[in-house]
Amino acid sequence: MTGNAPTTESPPPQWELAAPILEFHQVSFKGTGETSIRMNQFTATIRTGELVEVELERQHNPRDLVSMMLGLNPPDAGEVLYSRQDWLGIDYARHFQMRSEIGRVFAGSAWIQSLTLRDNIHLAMRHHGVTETDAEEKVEHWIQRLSGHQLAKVKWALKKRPSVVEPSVLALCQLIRAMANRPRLLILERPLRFMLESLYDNFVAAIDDLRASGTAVLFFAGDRDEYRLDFRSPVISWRIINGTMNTNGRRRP
Amino acid sequence: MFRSSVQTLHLVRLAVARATGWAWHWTGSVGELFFDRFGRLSAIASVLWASLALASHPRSWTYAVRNVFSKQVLFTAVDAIPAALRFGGAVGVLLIVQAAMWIDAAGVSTDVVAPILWRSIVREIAPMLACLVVIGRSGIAISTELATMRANGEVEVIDSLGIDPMTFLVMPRVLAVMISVFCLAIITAVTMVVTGYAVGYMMDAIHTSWNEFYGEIAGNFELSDLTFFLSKTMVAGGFAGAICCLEGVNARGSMTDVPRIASRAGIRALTAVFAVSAILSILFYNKILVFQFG
Repeated sequence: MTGNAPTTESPPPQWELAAPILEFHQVSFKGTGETSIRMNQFTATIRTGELVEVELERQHNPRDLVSMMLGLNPPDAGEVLYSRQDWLGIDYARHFQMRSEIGRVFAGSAWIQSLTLRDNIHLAMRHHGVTETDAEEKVEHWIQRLSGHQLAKVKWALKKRPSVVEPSVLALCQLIRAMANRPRLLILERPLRFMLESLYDNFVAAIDDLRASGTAVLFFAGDRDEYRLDFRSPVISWRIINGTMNTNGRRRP
Repeated sequence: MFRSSVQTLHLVRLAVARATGWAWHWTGSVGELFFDRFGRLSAIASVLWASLALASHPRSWTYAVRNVFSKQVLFTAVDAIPAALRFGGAVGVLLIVQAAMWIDAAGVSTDVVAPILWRSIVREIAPMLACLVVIGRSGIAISTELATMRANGEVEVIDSLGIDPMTFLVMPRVLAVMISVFCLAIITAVTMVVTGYAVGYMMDAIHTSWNEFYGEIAGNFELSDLTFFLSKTMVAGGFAGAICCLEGVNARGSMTDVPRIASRAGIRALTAVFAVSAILSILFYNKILVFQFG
């Protein structure tokens, strides 16, 4: 990660040599609501295998900021690059292909209500050419990995539509959907809001495994005041000061 | 004298200023209306064109898109068959009663009336009825579904997953509506003819046998009828589908706005269907009602 601070003379640590996945160059963004997180001339890079944690306050909603990162809303100024490619122009096929490599856990509405959870989870994979058998295998792998004692509930929920499934199971299903296709970038918006504490260790292990295989992770946290997640180091922290994203952060003690 | 002249001049200037202001305002309103209508029409044309262009790429037809398309055809065409049969049957009876009256009043035979009936069914009534069934049953449902998805943030979810909402949400629906209108128009036309004949025969309004009646119709069938029928159902269906999808995905506001958007979509789709039918009739036959151009 490179922050706003000027680069130093000393050689960078090994992990800084990894390929950039998400880059912000002088990005300014106001958002659409009072709870939106803003950016002011923000410059930073998230590289392969890195975990960037952003501590949110209760009132913060990262949804439109993340949508901007995915090229769904344009920034007010500056440039956002994913895998060294911008979101500009009308090459929509390239944009959708880029987004298909990104896993996202949404804060708020996250499901197509007319589909079952299974169809929702399979949707993006099937659309991008993963065969049904492969999709089944991948989903099954992550169900086993993440669900713990909620396994039976998750399997039952897959046959149901999202509106009749309880939030803790939906939170797990969102993670399964985001991780199933081994994303290059994983953006998590308050993924632990409804998750049971007993499953936090599974979550940490899964994130660390993805990082080991090269996935960059941007984690918008802020729902676990009394619980510390022991991610593999290094964990980079960005802070939100007066509603504005800042790279000069440090992890909450 | 001088003061009264000044006052008159002032009044004239005021009147001129007010008239000019009113004229500017009126011109502005007309211009605004024109650009609004033109913008809306070009948006509909863009959606139609983009849907057809996407549908022509085999790459667009992923499993998920095929799934949406087949469900939409099932809902819009297959599930609507009973409604099409009911409407076709009822209008068929009405038509045959009218025909019987003409036969009696004008003293003409069935072979004169049958081609007129058949043509009006194939060229105008069946496509229009099919459009009404599809818009009433599915068009409003499509715009409601899409507007709800938009208000719930589901369109953003689809976009974030790397799925083009145009390919996944709009294209299969527009195409399904086009195909459904075509299929339902055939069913409606056949039902109208068969029911009309059966009721007319029972009421003793038709004195010919089925074979003669059918032969009369088949003998009057022209290739232009098929061309007209195909283009009319497809174009009108395409416009209806595009308008309903456009109204849905362009929805702004909250869930409480969805009913208003749905009813507006229905009215606009119906208006477009009538307008398209009229324009196509003029283009094909160079006629509007009984007035010949040129």
